[in-house]
Amino acid sequence: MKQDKIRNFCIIAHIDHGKSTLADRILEYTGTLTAREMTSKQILDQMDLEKERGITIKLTAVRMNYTAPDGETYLLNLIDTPGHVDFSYEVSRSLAACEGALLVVDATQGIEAQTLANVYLALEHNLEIIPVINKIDLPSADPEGVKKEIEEVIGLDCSEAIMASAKEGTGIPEVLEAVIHRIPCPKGNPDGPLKALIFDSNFDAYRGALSYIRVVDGRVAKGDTIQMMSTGRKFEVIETGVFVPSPKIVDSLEAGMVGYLAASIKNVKDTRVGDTITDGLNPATQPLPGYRHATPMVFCGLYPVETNDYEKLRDALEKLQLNDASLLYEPETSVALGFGFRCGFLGLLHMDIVQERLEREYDLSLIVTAPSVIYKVIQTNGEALMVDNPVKLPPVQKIETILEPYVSASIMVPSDFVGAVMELCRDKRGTFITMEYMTATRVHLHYELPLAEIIYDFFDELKSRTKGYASLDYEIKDYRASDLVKLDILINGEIVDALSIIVHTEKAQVRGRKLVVRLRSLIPRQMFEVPIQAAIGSKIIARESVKAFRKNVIDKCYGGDISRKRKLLEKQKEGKKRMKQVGSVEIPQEAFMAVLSLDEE
Amino acid sequence: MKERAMGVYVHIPFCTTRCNYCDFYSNANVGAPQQGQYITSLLHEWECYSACGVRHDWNIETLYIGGGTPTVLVDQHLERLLEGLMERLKPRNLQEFTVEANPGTLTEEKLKILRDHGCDRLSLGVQSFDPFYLRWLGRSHDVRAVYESWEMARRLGWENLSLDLMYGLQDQTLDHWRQTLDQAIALEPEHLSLYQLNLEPGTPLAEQAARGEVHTVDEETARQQYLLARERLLAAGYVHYEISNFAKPGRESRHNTLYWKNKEYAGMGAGASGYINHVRYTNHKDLLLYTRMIKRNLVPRAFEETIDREMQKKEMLFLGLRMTEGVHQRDYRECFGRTLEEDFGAVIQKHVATGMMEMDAKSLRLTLEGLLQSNEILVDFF
Repeated sequence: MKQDKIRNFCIIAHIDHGKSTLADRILEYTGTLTAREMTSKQILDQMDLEKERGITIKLTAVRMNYTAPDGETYLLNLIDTPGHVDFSYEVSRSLAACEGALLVVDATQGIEAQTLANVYLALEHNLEIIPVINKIDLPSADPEGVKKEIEEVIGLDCSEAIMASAKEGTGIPEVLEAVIHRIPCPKGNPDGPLKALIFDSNFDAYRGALSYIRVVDGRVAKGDTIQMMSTGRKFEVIETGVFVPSPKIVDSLEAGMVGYLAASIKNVKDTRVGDTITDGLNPATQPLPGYRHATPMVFCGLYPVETNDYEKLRDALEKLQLNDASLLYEPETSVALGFGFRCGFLGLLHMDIVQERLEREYDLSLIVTAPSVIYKVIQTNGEALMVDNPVKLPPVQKIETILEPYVSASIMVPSDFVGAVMELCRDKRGTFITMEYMTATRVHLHYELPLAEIIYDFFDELKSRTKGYASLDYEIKDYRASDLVKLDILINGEIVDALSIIVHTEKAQVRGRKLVVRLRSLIPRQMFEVPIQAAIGSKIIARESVKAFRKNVIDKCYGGDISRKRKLLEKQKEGKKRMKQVGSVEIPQEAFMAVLSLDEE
Repeated sequence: MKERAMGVYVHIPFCTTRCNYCDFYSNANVGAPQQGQYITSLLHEWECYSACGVRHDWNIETLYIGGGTPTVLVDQHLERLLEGLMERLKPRNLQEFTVEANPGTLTEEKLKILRDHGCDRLSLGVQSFDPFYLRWLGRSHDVRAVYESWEMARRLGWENLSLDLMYGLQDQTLDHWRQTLDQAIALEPEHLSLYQLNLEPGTPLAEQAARGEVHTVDEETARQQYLLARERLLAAGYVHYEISNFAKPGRESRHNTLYWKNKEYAGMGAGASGYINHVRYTNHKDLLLYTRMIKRNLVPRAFEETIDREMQKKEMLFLGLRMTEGVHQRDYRECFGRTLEEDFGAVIQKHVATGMMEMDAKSLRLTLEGLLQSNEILVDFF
């Protein structure tokens, strides 16, 4: 198939504006899937987890053959994208494989946060954007109003916007015509040395790591020797294929095409997303331009409940990372919990999903701990110490100053929400730098904030206070001195290091009090009283206590009671499995999470 | 073939009224005809056993008729029940035959019937000597009935009497409980069972408690009451032989000991449970269903579970540790060919270290504090 008959496009939209339904309709209309084959409501969502939450996590590429009214046959590659804000990185990768995008906007909702965010991303990638006003069948639809909004806010010409109802099938032929005539065809060099962009990967038990690629120049086929341009490593291609939407083997992938290749790649790290694949024997000189790496917004510690499961956790993280390049992790230790990992996520939802996948797909019981940053401690003898774990802080007398990392944060927000955002930043010990009006309604705020204040829920707070409209970008700037102290939590007189945190002096008392109260309600009663204390150094600043059992007995156990009472004990035992023995106290997972809730009521 | 010793439990699910705290399966105000029907079915149940391999030549050493209130049975049906049981069970070496009784349902005639058919032990549901609490608990008798029944039983020759008491009642002070204990001791029972009032879901008291109309004592008071009872009874010459049970030396409940020593017993009647050939079972509670299945010569089991070896070990422990003498090393070894140390060493060590358990060459036992914390400790053995 010549490049001029190929179109690579994706669908971008806010959650629930109908992009998956639209994708389904396009699949049906092009005959890629018959109505009978559409067994699940939204065929491109692959995993159970996705089905449960009604969101797309993993993107999928689908090839369709379309015979246009003009009689010509075109090859269309549709790449589906996640709608949730945490996964803007995934959207960015799919955009890199396309020349155009269908911008789907709900006719009853208009432009929403994700719409804006993704349009800007698409514009950055120089994609041709085709506005599609969806759900025009609904009574409250206001297509003209939405068109006007798009033109004003984004500056995108909507005179040829397509009116559609994915649910009813209206506008589908027009959408496809627009794809054919308005989205440019790929313009790579079919005869040049191979250059293919890896935009995703998947691990297959039999074929090894599959690289999802967009071939820009040249071609790749079975038997070819390929080379990863970032590592220089070479592999032999054993299979090339496309998704229709299930995998189908093809002889080769030419310039302009989207598909996958398998090359007996055993190690995940050898098929790096963003990397360029070239010909092993006749390599290209320059790789394709890279694109924005995802910046983790949320960090936490992940520990296995059973210390023996460490290897299992490590392997699971490795496998997950293969399908989710935005997941970062590195080893970490805790005196109380043993060996674990410090992990970085795109957001709270991302963290939730990873945790659930680890527990469900890899059968792991996990403890999630408070996040931390790396502090720089200047000791009294002048020596600087990098401390990544509050436990490693030297004793108070030896500390001259503690410095913490600061970030330079760029926040884009509609002018209506400027006040809310400024309040949030002030709350997080931020320093206002500048404010600019990008348009009459869009403001760019520049703040400097301690990294520690934004690593857990700042992003989510930002989104919730701005109805999702704000976007955040940050980079680490420098280390600054702060009035910081180490807050320890003692359970039954022993410091539980996994609960220690470094806080700003102003917040220590309140934080300490909240923590001990919360922990008291989470730690189950034991056979002895359990004092829970918050301390700074040797000074106890808050105290609660879990009362001991005074009489905890099964009074009656006769013939008819035995089965039942035994089952009760078995159930209690199950409950204990989710607890971690810390010293002589059994602590449930939730207790560790308690440290993470910052300003709860 | 070595004959197997076992016990038999018979359930009579009838009562005059329902007590406010009881979640037992029972039916109130059952008339004589229905009682008669039930007895017929129950006796026939023994025939149904042959269908599932329970041998009729087993050596039945203990017999226990419980309920409900077995003594609400009218004399005629009570007699038929006892005769029928003896015919079928053919106990050659019956060591203990207990019948649960309620003060107020006992008449001389009834007691004579029981005695004449070999019943040598009565367990009386007294609960309290305070009329206020008797009413509060919804008991169908008064204090006088207690004394009358007791006197009658002694007069007619019973030398093995047990009574039940409840503590932890609303606003019950330690003094009040002490008085109750003294009154009980004055009757010189051979055996006592003491239970803390527990609000079982679905009972009238539990519902009242949910509405805030009623409350029980706090845990600290319950503990004090437990310890007080132990102190008084020990001083009066009783042996504290199980978490909730006290007896004069040699007068422990042999039947109940079968449960705690994990021995075999058959359960007859609606809702009764048994443990035979390592299978635990429970009969249907519903009278109609029970009767129907018996009519079809089917063993009326609602529930069955096979206890595998590993679970047998755990059961031996969770049941055996209820007795203050604990689990004997020799018994465990004979049963499983392994030692307690081998199978539960780590758990035992943990609890010995905190003073909750003791172990020596003879047995593994809970200490007094261990008994009070037993629920938490026993979990670890699973």
